[in-house]
Amino acid sequence: MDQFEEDLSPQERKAFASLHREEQVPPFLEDQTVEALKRQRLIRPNKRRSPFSFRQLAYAVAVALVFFGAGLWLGGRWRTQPANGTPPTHDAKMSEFMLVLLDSPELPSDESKEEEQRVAEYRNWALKLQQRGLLIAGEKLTTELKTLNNAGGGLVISGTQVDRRVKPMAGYFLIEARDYQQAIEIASDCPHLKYGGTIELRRIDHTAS
Amino acid sequence: MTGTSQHDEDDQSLVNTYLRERDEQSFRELYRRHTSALYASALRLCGSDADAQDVIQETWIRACRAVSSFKWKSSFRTWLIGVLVNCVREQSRNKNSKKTEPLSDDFAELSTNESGERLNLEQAIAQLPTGYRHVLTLHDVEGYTHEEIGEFLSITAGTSKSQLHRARKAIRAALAKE
Repeated sequence: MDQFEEDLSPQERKAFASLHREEQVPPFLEDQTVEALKRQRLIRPNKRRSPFSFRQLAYAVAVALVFFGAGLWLGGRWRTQPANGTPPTHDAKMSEFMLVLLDSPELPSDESKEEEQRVAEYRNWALKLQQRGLLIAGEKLTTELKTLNNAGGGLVISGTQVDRRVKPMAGYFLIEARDYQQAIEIASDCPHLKYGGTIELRRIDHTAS
Repeated sequence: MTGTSQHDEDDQSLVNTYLRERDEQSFRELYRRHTSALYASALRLCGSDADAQDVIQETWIRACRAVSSFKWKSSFRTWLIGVLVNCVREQSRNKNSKKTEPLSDDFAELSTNESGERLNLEQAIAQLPTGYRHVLTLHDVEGYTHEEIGEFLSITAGTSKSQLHRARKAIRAALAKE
């Protein structure tokens, strides 16, 4: 054994073993990396292969043209006005929703073992959403808080820790959903609720952008 | 960190699909299998989120360029870690990091953080000089052998051992101080 051969004590080994081997990767990084690879021609753009043969496709186009023509003819004969004059609504467009996660005083402190478990559950939940293409962003917030206001006529900045007694904002997820109903379905599965937290669900208002 | 498992076989199959078609879906699958572990390593080795994210992207670009010559003598994860370590070292050289000075033996500067609180293990690792941090992270956190670390860092296994010895000494001194 040379002078540098040594081993960790059981306590030290345990301390190293307790460190995280995996960390939640920011969701944007995957797409950013794929785009960089496409720019360098290391990934080809997705080619979607048609599930139909050429003959089936040609037949489908011919049938569609027949129906389209018939539709035009019928539309000309029985054109009607909307019943109440309002344009039809359609849910095809996706909306963006923010899930504002509010902590409860009973939630474990950031240092506890239980907190590690909780963060891992949130991470897994977010990864599943990401795989469904519904997650835009999401982060946990620290408890450090800076407050800015102009109340006294000049800018006042104060720094403190969040007050856990008043359901502080602990993190957020930005998701895509068809409507509030789907957003509620997604949010109701979030592990934050299991841990006694509250989720405020807010649709992003794009009128200002 | 060698040997074949189902996980390795799945990696090999995904890599083959990726190489055959430069296929986005198989790349994304590989990315999702390995990036959370790579990111944990990158955070420790780089010390900042922004640097770690740059390194992750560069690691995958280089890996995609070089994977056709990978011989599968180690696991895919181990090979990726090697690529990542090289990216980290290059980034560190480019930034002309100030943390490349060798450690003194008493390591007094590692005893407290900015708030004057006692250090925890993660913070103590983060404050190690670059070379020591890399060896200690790869050996004591990631579990690589001195031979593997030697290959990653282009140093001998003996140098890896002596750097680990000094890094552990630094960590112990830092954590023992009030």
